[in-house]
Amino acid sequence: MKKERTFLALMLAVLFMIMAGLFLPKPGLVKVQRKRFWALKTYTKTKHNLIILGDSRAYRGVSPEAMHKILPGIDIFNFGFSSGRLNKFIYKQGEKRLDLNGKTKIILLAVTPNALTKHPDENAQINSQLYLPKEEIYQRIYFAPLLTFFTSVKPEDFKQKKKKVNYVEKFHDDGWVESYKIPEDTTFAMKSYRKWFTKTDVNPGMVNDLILQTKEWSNKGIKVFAYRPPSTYSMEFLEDSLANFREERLIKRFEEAGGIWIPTKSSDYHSYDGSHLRYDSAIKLSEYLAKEIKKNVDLE
Amino acid sequence: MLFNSLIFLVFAILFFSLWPLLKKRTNVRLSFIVIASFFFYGWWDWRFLFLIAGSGLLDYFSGIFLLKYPNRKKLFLLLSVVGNIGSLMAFKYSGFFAENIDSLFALLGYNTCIKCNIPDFFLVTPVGISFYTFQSMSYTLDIYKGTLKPTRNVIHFFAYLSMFPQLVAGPIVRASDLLSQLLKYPKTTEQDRWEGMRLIVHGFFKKMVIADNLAPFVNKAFVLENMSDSSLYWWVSVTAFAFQIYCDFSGYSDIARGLARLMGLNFKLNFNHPYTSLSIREFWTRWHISLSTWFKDYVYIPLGGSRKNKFSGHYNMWITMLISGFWHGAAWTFILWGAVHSFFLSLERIFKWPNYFKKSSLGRVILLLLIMLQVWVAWVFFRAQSFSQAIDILKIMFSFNGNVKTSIGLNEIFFILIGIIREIWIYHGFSKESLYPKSWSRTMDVVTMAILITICVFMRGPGNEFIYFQF
Repeated sequence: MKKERTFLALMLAVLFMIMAGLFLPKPGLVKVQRKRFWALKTYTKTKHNLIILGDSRAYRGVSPEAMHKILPGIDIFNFGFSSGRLNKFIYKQGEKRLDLNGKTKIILLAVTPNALTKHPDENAQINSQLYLPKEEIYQRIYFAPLLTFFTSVKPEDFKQKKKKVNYVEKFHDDGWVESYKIPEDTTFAMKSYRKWFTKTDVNPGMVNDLILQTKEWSNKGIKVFAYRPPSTYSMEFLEDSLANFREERLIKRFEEAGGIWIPTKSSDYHSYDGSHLRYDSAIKLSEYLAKEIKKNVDLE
Repeated sequence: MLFNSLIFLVFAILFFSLWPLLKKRTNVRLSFIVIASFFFYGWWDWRFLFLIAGSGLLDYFSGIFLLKYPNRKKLFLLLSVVGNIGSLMAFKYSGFFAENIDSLFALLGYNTCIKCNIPDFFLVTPVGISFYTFQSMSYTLDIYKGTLKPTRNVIHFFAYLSMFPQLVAGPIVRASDLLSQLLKYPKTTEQDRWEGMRLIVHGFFKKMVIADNLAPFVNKAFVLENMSDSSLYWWVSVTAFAFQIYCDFSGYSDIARGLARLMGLNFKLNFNHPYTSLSIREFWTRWHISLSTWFKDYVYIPLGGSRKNKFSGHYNMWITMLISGFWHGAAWTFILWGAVHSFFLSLERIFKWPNYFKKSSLGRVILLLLIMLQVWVAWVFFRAQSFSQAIDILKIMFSFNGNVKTSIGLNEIFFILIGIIREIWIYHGFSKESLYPKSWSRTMDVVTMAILITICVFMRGPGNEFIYFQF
């Protein structure tokens, strides 16, 4: 065996590869992690006791892990999607992932005005995931993360790139994206929201569907909670004034339908872009939501 | 199945794990090759396995009948040629001919759509069809010429025809070379395994590191919407393509040769550093050697070669080169590529101009650059999406304008340089001994190989299919 150069070269190559994998930069790693995150979120087969539904403010703003500390024994999953609407399709998808045979059955809705507006391509993100070929799903969930150790590099990856904005995202398997931006810009999201809300309002039909769904779930023994994801005062003002969002009226109808509204105050939290919560605020909010849920649910 | 895919890695591990156990008995060994090769090919599209099987059976029986009925030799040869060329015409060229006939009718004022009436199945070119039909055809042609005896065992024939290392992109191996090797017990020495691995690793380096990293830049350059008017940009783009196609194709050949070597077989050299050629004629003795010799043996020489007179030599060479161009793809640009090479070859034959430069070292360097220049011009036609795009690119290249505002990045320059350094290394005949003492050679070979494997893994480009698969 000593004389077998092929064997020696392969062994040495393994050693070199371990060193290269440990020390070379990993461009594109976030992309792989992001793809895995969405595939994992969409194709989770585990049934959960508490499902969080909503848009990016939901999946960036609520950490199931932080909630779990307050609600031990409850399996929590964040099923929020980018620009996700609160509509019949998403309610059905969320319910599919709820353990209907379990003692505790909770849906937590992150109600933003944006999630109640009609969009020609609503559910785009979940749809883009739902119809992936099987091989692609396995590739994204299992192989690609394994292969990140072998991430390919090019000469340009060694050049120090000065990024204007450093957007840091950490993807959690429970559906939460821990995120922050350096430098922060608390007015960043305002422009696109203003543009969107000058074109559209909160859709009364979607509000009705939300109420009807809450009634249906309550009748099935599912506890339904809702909250308005905190952002900034300016954003809330913009949403209330431009999107025709009648929060008080919605809360009243929601509670009449059997839901429990959890009040939030934007001033208690910190947003890095005017829409999404910084990771520490997200943990704070998660703990608060968990405590409020605990008050209203018999966990024994 | 692509050589540069995880599934091939699994396939190769399984194949070479079973190979030592199954190689002892000839029929078992060859059956194993056939099954593995059909699986390898069927991974793309199992339906086209029937095409290989059909094409192969036609030539297998033609071979037997050619020997059995010598009075009807021409008939059986014709059957084989018509069958093979027919399948090529149907699957590779039917769309091209239909489009051109439609265009011709349109010029005459008639609106037709022959292409619309071709079943979709025929508009999909089966991977490697040009390679295996030519390989299959060479079998009957050699029997017809009397240089080969047909095999009576269909498994032996299909082991020769479908050998997975070279099935889809060559080298086009002759039955006279391979059949006899397949029948012998394939004993491999440590040197064979090392040489096999060396070829495979160098092949992957060329393909995954050089060709695949240049591919995005080249693809972006040759889109019709690219409006760059910088001469520098186009010279770099065409150079990038020259190295991309060379490394892509010769990389595949090296991997194929390496795999064969691990099996105890020997495939002939298919690329011999073509960009170090000092004439276009020499280029064609170094570029895709198995195809060039195929065309020489089965087209150029049967046409009469240069035996009659000088003019017939040119005439036959033009015909051969135009067919060779058309073999590469069903488009006018490929035929033009063949024509451009024919033109340069004719100039060389008439004026013998490279001889004037060969006398001095400086002259040889200038000659090398002049030959590259001609090859580069031809590559523009090969890669361009249309004749007009090729002309536009050439106009900008030869305007030598001073526009240096380009989107050329560090990556492109780096990988082109790697390609150039590899070739210059060979051109100047640098040897390992000039870098370190001979006693270190064995250790340094092992270290170099390990480094190359690591580079292949960590500097691989976006996984592209091999360019020559489409041919």
